[in-house]
Amino acid sequence: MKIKKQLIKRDIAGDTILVPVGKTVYDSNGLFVLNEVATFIWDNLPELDTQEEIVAKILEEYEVSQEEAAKDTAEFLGKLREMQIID
Amino acid sequence: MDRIYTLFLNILKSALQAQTYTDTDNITQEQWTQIFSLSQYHNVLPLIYQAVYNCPALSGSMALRSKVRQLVMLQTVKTTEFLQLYSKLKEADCTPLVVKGYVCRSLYPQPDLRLSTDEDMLIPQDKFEKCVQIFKEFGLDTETPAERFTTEYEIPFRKTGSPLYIELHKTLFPPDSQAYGNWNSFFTDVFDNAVMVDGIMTLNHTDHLFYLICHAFKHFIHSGFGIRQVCDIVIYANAYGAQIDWQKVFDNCKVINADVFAATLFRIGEKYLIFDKEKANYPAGWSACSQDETNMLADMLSGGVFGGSTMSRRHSSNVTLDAVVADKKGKKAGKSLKGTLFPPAEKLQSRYPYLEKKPYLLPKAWASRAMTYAKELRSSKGNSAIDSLKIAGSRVDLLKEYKIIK
Repeated sequence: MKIKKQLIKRDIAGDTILVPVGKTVYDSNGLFVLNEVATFIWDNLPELDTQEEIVAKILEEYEVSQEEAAKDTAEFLGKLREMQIID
Repeated sequence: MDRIYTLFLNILKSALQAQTYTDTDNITQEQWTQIFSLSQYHNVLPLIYQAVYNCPALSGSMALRSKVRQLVMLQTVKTTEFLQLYSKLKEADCTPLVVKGYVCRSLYPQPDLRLSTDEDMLIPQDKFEKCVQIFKEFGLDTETPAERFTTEYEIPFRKTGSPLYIELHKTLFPPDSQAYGNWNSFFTDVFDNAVMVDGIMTLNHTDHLFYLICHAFKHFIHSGFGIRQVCDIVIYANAYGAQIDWQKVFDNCKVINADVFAATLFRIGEKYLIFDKEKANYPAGWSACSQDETNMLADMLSGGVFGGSTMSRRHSSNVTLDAVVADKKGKKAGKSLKGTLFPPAEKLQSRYPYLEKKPYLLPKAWASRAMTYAKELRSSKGNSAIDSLKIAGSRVDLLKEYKIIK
C-alpha cells in the first residue's frame, strides 16, 4: 500500500512514533503513536496491497484469532485513511 | 566525585551501549531532577532518558517524556531535511564535506537521540557561491550580509519554518584567531583525502578524529567542553580506530599542545564511558602521557555542553584565550581581565566594524562594551565579574595542569 505522507518511524523511550518530516510537517496534526501490532502492520505496509494480505501476515507472526487480526487491521487502516496517510 | 556526576556518567555509559540502567532504587526524586538538569546542560537528555525511562520512580514524569519525545522528533526532522539538502548539493556537483554532527550521530545506537543544534559543512572556496545559491533554492537564508561572505570563515544559514540550521565553513577554524587560526594548516588537503561514509562525503578518519579533538580542545581553551564531545570522540575512535593513523593524530596534537589534553580525554572515555583501547587500536604510548583526569572531568561536568553553563563562565573565556595566545608568543600567561576589558582594535572589529577604518574610536568601543556587559550583569543570573575572574583563574590553572600552556 502506498504511504502518501512523509513519516519516519522512531522508537523513543518505549513508544513507537511516526514522525512527520518534509512537507508532512506542515499538514499533520497530532501524534502518531503505534502499539506493537500497528508497528508490525506499518513495517509491512509497503509490501502488502490489501487488508486481507495484512491479516494473513499478522496471523503468520502472532498467535491471535482471525477475528482479532482483522479487527486490529481494519481499525488501524481506518485511522491511516482518516489521516490521509493511505488511500 | 559528586554522586550526581557518578550517576549521570553511569547512566550515559549504559545509554551509549543501548542498555537500560537498572541501579536506580536509591535515587531520590531530587537526585533525578539534578540528573536531568545536568543532562540538559550537556544536551544529552534523550540519551539519558532512554536508558532510565522504565524506572518506576519516573513512571509519572509525563512532562519529561513529552519533552524528550519532542526533542527526538525535532532531531528526526532536522536530519531528514539535512539529507534532502545534501542530496541537492550532490546533484549539483557541489558536494561539501560534512563534519561532526551527522557523521558522529550515525554511530550512536539510536542516532536521533544524539541531538545537534546545527550541522557543519566545509566547502572549497571555488564552490562557495554555488553552494550558497543551492542553499537559497532550498529555502535557507542567512543574516550575514553578502558583502561579509568574503571575510567570514563560516556563515550560518537557517530555513524559515524549519529547525534546520547549517554552518557553512570555508575553513574549519577562524583564520584570524591568534589562539587556533593556524590549526587550519592541518586540514589543507582534506578534500583530496575525503571519504564516503553512508553516502556522505566527510574527512578521512584520521583527519576527522583529529578535528573532533581540536574542536573539543578549542572549547576547552574557551570556557570548556561537554561530555557529548567526549562521547563523540570515543564512539568515533571505537568505530574507526583500525583506519586511524594514531601516530599522525598524536604528532599533530603535540604540535598544538593538545597531546596531554587528548590523552586525558581518552582516559575519561575509558574510565567512565565506553572507550575500548583495543578496538580503537589506541597506542599504549599515548596513555602514558595522560594526566589525572579529576580536574578536567569536574570542569567538563560543571561547564555544560560548550562550557556555557553560566555567563560568568563564558566571560572567563577571554582570559583563557589570552593566556593561550600569550603562551604562544613566549610570554607568561596571566589571569587578569586587563586584556579582556581593553582589547586591541583588531579583536573588536567584527562587533564594531567602524574600528576598521577609524581605529581611534577604540575607547568608544571599550565604553560601549563595558555598558553592554554591565547590562548583562544586571539582567542575568550566574553572571558576575568576580565569578568570571575566579573561574578564569582556575581555568588558566587547568591549562597549565594539562600542559597546554607553561
